[in-house]
Amino acid sequence: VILDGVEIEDTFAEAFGMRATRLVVTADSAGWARIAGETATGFATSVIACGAEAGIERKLEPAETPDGRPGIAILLFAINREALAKAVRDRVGQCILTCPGTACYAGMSDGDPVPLGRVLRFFGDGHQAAKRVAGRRFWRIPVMDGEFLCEDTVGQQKAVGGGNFLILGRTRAAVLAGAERAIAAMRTLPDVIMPFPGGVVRSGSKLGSRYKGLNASSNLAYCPTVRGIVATALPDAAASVLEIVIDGLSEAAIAGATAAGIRGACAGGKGEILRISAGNYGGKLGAFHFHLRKLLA
Amino acid sequence: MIRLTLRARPPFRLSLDGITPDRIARLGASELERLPLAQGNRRGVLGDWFRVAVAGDAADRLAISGGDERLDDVGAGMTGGELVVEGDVGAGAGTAMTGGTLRIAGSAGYGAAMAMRGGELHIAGDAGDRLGGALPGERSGMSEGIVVLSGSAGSGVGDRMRRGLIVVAGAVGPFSAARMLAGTIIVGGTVGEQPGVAMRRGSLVALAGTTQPAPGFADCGVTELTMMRLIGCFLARRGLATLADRAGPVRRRVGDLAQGGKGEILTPA
Repeated sequence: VILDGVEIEDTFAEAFGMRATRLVVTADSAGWARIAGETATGFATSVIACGAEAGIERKLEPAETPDGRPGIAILLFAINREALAKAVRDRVGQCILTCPGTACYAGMSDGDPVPLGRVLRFFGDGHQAAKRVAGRRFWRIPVMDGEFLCEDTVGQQKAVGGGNFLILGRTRAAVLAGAERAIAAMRTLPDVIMPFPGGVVRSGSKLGSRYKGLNASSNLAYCPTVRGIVATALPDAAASVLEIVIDGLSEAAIAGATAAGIRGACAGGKGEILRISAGNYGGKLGAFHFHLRKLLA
Repeated sequence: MIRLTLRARPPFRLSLDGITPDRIARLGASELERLPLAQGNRRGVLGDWFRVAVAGDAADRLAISGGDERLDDVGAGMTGGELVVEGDVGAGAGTAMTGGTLRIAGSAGYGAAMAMRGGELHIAGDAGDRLGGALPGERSGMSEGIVVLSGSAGSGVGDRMRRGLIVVAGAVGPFSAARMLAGTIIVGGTVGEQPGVAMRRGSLVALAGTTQPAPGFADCGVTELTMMRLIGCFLARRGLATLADRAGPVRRRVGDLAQGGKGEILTPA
C-alpha cells in the first residue's frame, strides 16, 4: 500500500489497556491555564518511569468551562485505578494547586471516581470548605492568592495506551517535519494525547536488554548508526526514524488519530518519507492491535 | 397533561398534599376527582373544588389554573415531573419535595421549600417567611435542590438550611441564613437585620450588601473568589444573568464565631 508516495508497511501497533481521566483546569488567562496544564503533564511520557502518561487534550474557550474562564483539558493515563489516583493527587497537588489563579474540575463523571479535592483539601489546615453547586461538590482551599477551587472527585474510565506508528525517512530533517505534520493533524482530535516531547519519540524501545535489571532498551533495528552490525529494519535509504505514541480514551479514538497522523506525515513527504511502520511485541502482550493498512483503508 | 381548575375561592384552606404529577400521572379524570382533599378541618375530594381535565400528552405534567393563597402544600412531597401553578399559592409549597420542577406564576406563602430535599422550585412572585427553612421541631431545613425566587422573601430565609441553593432576586427580611448549617443563599436585593445569626457553615451572598455589619462575623477583607464565578456561570446558564453579572470581588465576613465560624457573608467590595 502506497499513500502519497509513502509505503505503508503491513504491520500493526500493539497497545494496552489503561485507566484514564480528564481534568479541566481554568485560570485567569489562557496563558496561565496552559502553564498549569503543561506543568501538570510534564514528566509524564511513559508509565515505566513517570507513573503516568499525560498530555494536553485541547484548549477550552471560556464558554466551555464551569467558571467561564479560559481553560485547558488534560488527559492522564495510568496502569490501574490506584496508580491513576496517585498521579491525579500528586500532579494536581504539586502543579495545579500551586499555579496562580487556577481551579481544577472533573472532566468526566463516569466510573468509580478517584479523589481530587477530597485529598487535597487537607492543605487548608481546617479552613477548607466544601460547596455544592449544580449537584457537584467542590472544595475551597485557602491559598495565598485567594482560594483554590477543586472538584471533590473525578471520574475515570478504561482506556488504551501505547498506540503508535513509526516514520522512516531519508533525512533527520524530513522525518522531523513529517512528525510535526502528523502531530498537527492529531492535535485537533478529541480523546487522545501524544505524551512524548512535542508528541514525538526518538528513542523507541524494545523489550529486554543484555544488561540485568533493565527491562527495555533501544530498538536497535531502527537505529541507523548501528545498521551494519545488527539485524536492521531500515530500508537502505533511510537515515532517521521517529515514533509517535498515542494514548486514547477508546480504541476508536486511537485508530482515528493514527490514521490522521499517518496521512499528515505522508502528505507532502513524497521522496523524503520512505515508509510508515509500527511497533509491536508480536501481538501477545497487548490487547489492542492497530493494523496500519486497515486503518487507512 | 392534567389540568386542575379551581372552581371558586374557597372559604377555608385546601391542602393539596399528595396531588403531585408523579403520584397522579396515570389516573383518569373520574379517579382524580375522587382523590382526597383536606378542606379546612374536614375531608372531601378533589372534585369538590377543582374541575379536572386530562389531555393525552405529557403524563407527568400537572397544571393548576386559578391559584389562590388558600391553596396550601402545593407540590409537597413531589418526586418528579412538572407542576405549574398559574397563580398564587398558600403555605408549604414544595415542602419536602425531592425531585421534579414546581413553577409558581404568582406568590407563595409561609414556608415554601421547607425541608426540600431535591428538585427545583421557581416562584415568579414573592415568598413568605422561612423560605427553605426547617419544619417545626426539625434540626435542619432544606437539604438539597434549587429555589429561584423572582420577587422578595420574608424573614428567616434558609433557616437551618443544610444544603442546596436559594436565589432571591429581590429583598429578604430579617434573620436570613440564621442557624444555617450549609448551602448557598444569593440575594439580589436588600438583606434584613441579623443575617447569618448562629450560622455554622454555608454562604450568604448579599449582592446589594447588608444594612448592618453582622455581629459574630470577622471581616476577612476583599477577595475574588472563583467560586463566585462558578455560581455566576451556573446562574447565567439558568437565565439569571443579572445576578451573575454582579458576582465580582467580594468582602468576606466569616462567622458566626459563636457557632464555629465556618459560614460566610459575602457582599460586593
